[in-house]
Amino acid sequence: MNKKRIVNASYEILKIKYKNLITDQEKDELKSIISNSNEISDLLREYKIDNSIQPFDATPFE
Amino acid sequence: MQRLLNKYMSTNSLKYKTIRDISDLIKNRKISSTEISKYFLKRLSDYGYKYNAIVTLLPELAEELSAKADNSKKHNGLLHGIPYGIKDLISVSYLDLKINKGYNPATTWGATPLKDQKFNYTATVIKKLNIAGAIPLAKLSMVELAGGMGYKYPDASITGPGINPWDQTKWAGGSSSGSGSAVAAGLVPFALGTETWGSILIPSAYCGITGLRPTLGLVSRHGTMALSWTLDKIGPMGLSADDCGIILNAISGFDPKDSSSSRKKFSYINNYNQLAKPNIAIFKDILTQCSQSIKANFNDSVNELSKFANIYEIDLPEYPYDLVIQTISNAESSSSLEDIIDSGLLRGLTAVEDRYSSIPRSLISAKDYIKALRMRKIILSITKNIFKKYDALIAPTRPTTALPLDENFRDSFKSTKDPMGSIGNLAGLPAISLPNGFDKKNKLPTALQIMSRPYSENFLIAMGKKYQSITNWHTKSPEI
Repeated sequence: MNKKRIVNASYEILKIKYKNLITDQEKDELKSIISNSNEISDLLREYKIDNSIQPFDATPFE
Repeated sequence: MQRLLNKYMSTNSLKYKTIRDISDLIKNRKISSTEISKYFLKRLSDYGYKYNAIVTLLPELAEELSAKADNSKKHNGLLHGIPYGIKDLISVSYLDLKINKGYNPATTWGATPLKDQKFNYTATVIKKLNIAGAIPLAKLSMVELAGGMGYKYPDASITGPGINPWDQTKWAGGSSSGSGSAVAAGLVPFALGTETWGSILIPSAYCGITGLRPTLGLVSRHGTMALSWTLDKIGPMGLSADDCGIILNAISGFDPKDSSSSRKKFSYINNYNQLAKPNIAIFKDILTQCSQSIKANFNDSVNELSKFANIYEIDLPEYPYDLVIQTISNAESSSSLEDIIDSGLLRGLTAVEDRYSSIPRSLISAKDYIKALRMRKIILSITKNIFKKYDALIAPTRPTTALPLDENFRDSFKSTKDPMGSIGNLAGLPAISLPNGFDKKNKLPTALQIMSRPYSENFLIAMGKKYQSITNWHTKSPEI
């Protein structure tokens, strides 16, 4: 139930932010994409990584 | 000379010649670069539109550069005077090249809203090929915005669906569709393609040609459309592994204009001293998703390779490879194509789904993107462990032959995982796709991919050449 609410809320945000770029016919498809993206996010969250692993190899300016 | 040209023109004996063969003709002055360029321009003009392979022909540029090649006292090497095609996300500026024709060709990125997009600079790869004396003939078609907007059908392009020269009801593959079909149809001796996740290897496999995805950073992307900064590569698509080596030798090298450019240099070694008997690994279960003919042809390839390599089956560590690359490419494209998305230009794209599918990517959180980047580090260590023991990984390039033009390919791809593609692109590994037979029923080409350590292109090309010396699949061509 929460997942559905999150998808609906996300869609409403997109509709506000991109009001001229989204049509009502695209509503179901967009919700499906959002839902899929949320599932990926949940799956990534299941993988625990040691904090010593950094996303970037940051280096100082030379 | 005219008599010789007529001979080549009338017998069509220039098409499907390797770079070395054409180079010999030029070097020995049996035919000029101008004549060869005219020959291939005519082929492009006669057949290229039939395959939806062409965005723009570049006859003025070809005329000027081939005349320059013919008049040069210095022979610049194997690519001197050799024509080629360019995927239309690589910019060419006549102004920058000082070609005074009063106009500049467009670089459309395959997208209708960008049909008049022009740049005042030329991509580094094109400048490098100019130095080598190669002759650009055409900007070749591609899936709009390199397929990064979520398209589902092959027709997502300003030029329509990329048509496969082996069967006109089938797709040439994406996103380097025109590069694949133009080489396969003998319209250019070679072409440049690009890959973020599959866009060189897939059309190479579907079209029955040889394609090389170089190590990330080996070829400068300056002047090329950015889809994903940490994944995009430019590579050669040609008729043989040797051709790919010759092209890569010319286009690789450090470029300060691409901040991801590697300082490691690639020099093609024609007689590369390959390991006595390399150890090659195959992921267990990699064939479970493949069609019967793909399986059969792959097993034949393994038999051929086992004549000069040790073959092992290994387990693939369980990890969400596809989800990691999907998160990174979607997040980065959301940023790299921000202007196109926000300006509303995407509403003019050809595929209906391309007009909105990228919008939800703005919701991918920074946390998820960073998590995916950190998981990419884990994948790098998995990859390093594999290549501590093995010299190469092999697999079918694709689990099926080219798909029908009217098929939603996402449905076909959804059920299949692509560990070789996702691991290879996440770890920036080079890979080569080699034709390895035909489907017995539909007569379409099948392909084998070999992937190895970063900067191991000489090894990969040597493996490809060895395989192509004992098989002749790469010499087969469709009836045009």
